[in-house]
Amino acid sequence: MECMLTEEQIQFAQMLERFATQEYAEALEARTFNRERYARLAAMGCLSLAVPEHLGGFGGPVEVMLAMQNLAPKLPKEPILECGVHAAALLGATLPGAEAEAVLQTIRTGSRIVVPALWENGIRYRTDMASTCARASADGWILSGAKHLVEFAEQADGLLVTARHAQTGELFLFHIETSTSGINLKTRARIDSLPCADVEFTDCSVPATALLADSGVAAMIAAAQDRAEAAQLGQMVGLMDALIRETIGYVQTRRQFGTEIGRFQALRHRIADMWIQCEEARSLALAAALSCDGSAEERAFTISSAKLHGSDAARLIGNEAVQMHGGIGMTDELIVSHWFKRLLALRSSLGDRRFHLSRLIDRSCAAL
Amino acid sequence: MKFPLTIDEEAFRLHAAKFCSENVPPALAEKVVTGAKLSRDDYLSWQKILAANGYLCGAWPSACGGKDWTPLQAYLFDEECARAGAPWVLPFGVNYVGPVIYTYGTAEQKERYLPGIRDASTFWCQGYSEPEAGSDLAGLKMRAVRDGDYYLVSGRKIWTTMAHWADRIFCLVRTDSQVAPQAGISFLLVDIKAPGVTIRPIITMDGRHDLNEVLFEDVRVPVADRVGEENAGWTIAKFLLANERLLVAEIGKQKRLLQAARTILSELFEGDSPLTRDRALHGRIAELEARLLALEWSALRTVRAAAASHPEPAAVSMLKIRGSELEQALTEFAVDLLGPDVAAYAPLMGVGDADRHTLLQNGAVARMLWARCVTIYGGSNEIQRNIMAKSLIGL
Repeated sequence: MECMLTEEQIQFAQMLERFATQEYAEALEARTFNRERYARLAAMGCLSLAVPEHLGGFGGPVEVMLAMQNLAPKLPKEPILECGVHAAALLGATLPGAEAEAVLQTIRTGSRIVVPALWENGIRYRTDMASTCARASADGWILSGAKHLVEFAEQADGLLVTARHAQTGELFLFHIETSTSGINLKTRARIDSLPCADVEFTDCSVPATALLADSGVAAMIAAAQDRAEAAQLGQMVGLMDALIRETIGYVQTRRQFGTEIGRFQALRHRIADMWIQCEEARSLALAAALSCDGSAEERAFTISSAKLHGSDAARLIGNEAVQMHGGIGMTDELIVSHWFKRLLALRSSLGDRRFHLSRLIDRSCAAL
Repeated sequence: MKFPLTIDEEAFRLHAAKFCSENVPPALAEKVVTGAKLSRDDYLSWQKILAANGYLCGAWPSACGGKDWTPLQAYLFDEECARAGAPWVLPFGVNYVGPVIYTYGTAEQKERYLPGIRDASTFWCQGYSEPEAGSDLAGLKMRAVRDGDYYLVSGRKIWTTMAHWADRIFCLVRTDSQVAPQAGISFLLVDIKAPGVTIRPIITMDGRHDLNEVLFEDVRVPVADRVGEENAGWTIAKFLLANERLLVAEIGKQKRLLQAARTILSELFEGDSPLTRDRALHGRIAELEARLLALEWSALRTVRAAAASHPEPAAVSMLKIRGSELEQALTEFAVDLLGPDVAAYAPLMGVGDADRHTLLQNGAVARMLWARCVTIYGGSNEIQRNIMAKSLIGL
C-alpha cells in the first residue's frame, strides 16, 4: 500500500497506529464512550479529515481511510466516523452556509458532537424515503416522526435530521439540538456495543436557523452516505486485517496431533484465501476513497463495487477466523468474536450487499 | 474509478493506445475478439509489427535492445494491446527466455539469441513439465549426459505450448541425479528441429491443438547452449517463474472477456423479450465487475511496488490465483448466457463460417473450455497457495 501513499500519509498512518495502541490500552470490557478521549482524537486530527480546508480541515478521503483502518481494530466507542466523517460530509455538502460552517468548526475541534439521524424504520438504507414531517411555524419548523437506530444519539449535542415538508413533500435537512423539547431518545442495544438510540420527534419546535438545506437534499445525503461508506470500508479492512493476523498467530502456536495446526494444508490454503480477500478489499477501499472526489456516477460505481466485494470478504474472513480458533473463537473471551460482530454490523450499515448490488444492477441495465 | 497515473504514465498510455489503434490489423482483431483459433502467422504478424517498432521488447533494458520500460509501462502497453484486440504476445521468447539470457547468459549467447527474440524471427517454446514432474517440477527426469562439448539429452517434456510451431525450446534437464533434486538441474537452449526430437500433438478438450508432448532421444546439444553453470538451473527456473507470474493477471484481456459477454447478452432473446431485462444476469455482471476492479487495483498496486522493490511473494501469487479464477468466472458467465446453444460447438469455426453472433457464441465456448487450464499452468493455484502460506504463516 505504501507505494500509493505520500510521505505525509505514511507518517500520519504510523502516528495514528502508535496513538491508537497507547490510547486504547484498557481492557475491552472497560471501554466506553469517553469525552476526554474524544478531545484527544480531535487533537490528533482524526475529526478534521472530512472538514473543508478553509474551515481548518486537513487531509481527505485517503487520510480518512488510513485513520479508519488503524483505529477500527481498537473497537473505539467514539463517533469518529459518525461525526467526523459522515456528519462532516453531510454538512460539507450543504455549503456555503453560516450555520453549517459554524457546526463544521465545532466538529473539527471536538467541542461538539453532531451525528446524522437519517434512518427510519422500514426504509432500510433509502434515506431519501424519510417520512418525518416538517410543518412551518411562526418562527421556524415543527417536526414529527421518528428516526431509527441512530448511533451516538445520546452522546450527541446535535442531530442532522431529514424531514419532509408537510405541504410540498420536499426533503429538508435540519441541524437540531439534541436537548430540544419534543425529542425523546430510547436507548437500543447493539451487537457491537456501540451506543445507539431511536429518536422520536413529537411536535418538536426548532428555529428557522436549524434548516440547513431545502433543495437537493437527496443528492446531499447520497454523497455523504457514499463518503461515509468509503470510510467504513477502511474500518472493515482494518478489522479483516486484524482478524487474519490474530488467526495466523493462533495457528502458529496452537498444537493438536502433536504439531502446530498451522502446518496443516487444510488450514494453510484457507488462510491464503483470507489474505487474498483482505488484500482485494484494501485495493477497493483505496479506489473507493479516491473516488469520493470524482463524479457522482464514478463514485457510486466504485463504492458499491467495493462494498459488494467487502461484504463477501468480511463474511469469509470472519467465519474462517472463528472456525480456525475453534471453540474458544465462539466466546467473548478473545477479541475475535468482538471483531466478528463489529464486522457484521458494518457489513449491514449504510448500505448492505443487496442495496449496493441493486444500485450496480440499475447501472448495468442502463448501460445495455 | 481509474487508477491514478502520473502525467508521464498517462501520456505513455495514450501513445500506446494510438499505436495499437493504428497498427492492430482489423481482420486479426476480429478473430481475437470472436475467440477464433489463431494461426502461427496470426501470432507472428502482430509480434513482427511490435518488433518493427521496438515495442516487442520494450520492457528489456536498453543495453539489450529494449526501452527500459518500468513494470507499470509494460502493464499499460499490454492493456492497450488487449483493448485494441491484439493477439496474446507469446511470452516464451520475449518474457521468459530473453530475460534469462540477458541476465544469466554469456556474451556469445546474448549475441546469438537475443536478436532473434527482438525481431520475432525465432519462435521459442518452454520445456518445463514432464509426465512425472508437474507441480513437483524439481522432480524432472530428462537427462543431459556430458559427451565432450555436447550434452546427450533424453527424456520427455509435456504440455509444451506451441512446440509444433517452434524453432527452439528451452529446457530444464537433470545433469546430476546424486544430489537433492533442485541441485542437479541445468538450463539448456535446444534446437527443436535437431535429430532425435519428436513432437506429438495433444488435443485439449476445446478440440484444438496448442499443446504437445516433446520427446528427446540422444539429442546433441552444445555445452555452449547451457545458460548458467551446470546444476545451477533451478535458480534460473525460479527467476523465470517469477517473471511469468507478474504478467499473469492480464487485466486487458479480462476486460475484453467481460465486453464479449455483454455483447452476447445484448443480442439474446427469449421470444420477444430481450435477456438484457433479466436483473439476475446484471447482478452477475456487477459481481464480476467488482472482482475485476479489485484485481485491477491489486495488480496495479503490485506493479507499482515492483518498480521500487521486489514484490511480496504472496502478492504475486495472489495475482495468479485471482486472475486465473476471474478468467474462468468470466468465460463461465459467457457460456451460461448461451442456453441450448452451448451444445452447438465447432472447435475450428472461424470468420466466414457463420454470422458474427454465432462466431462469438462459439468462441465463448472455446474460451471457457480452454480456461480450465489457467488455474493449472504457471504453478497451479494450489502451489500458489502453498507459496502464500509459507510467506504468511511460515512453519
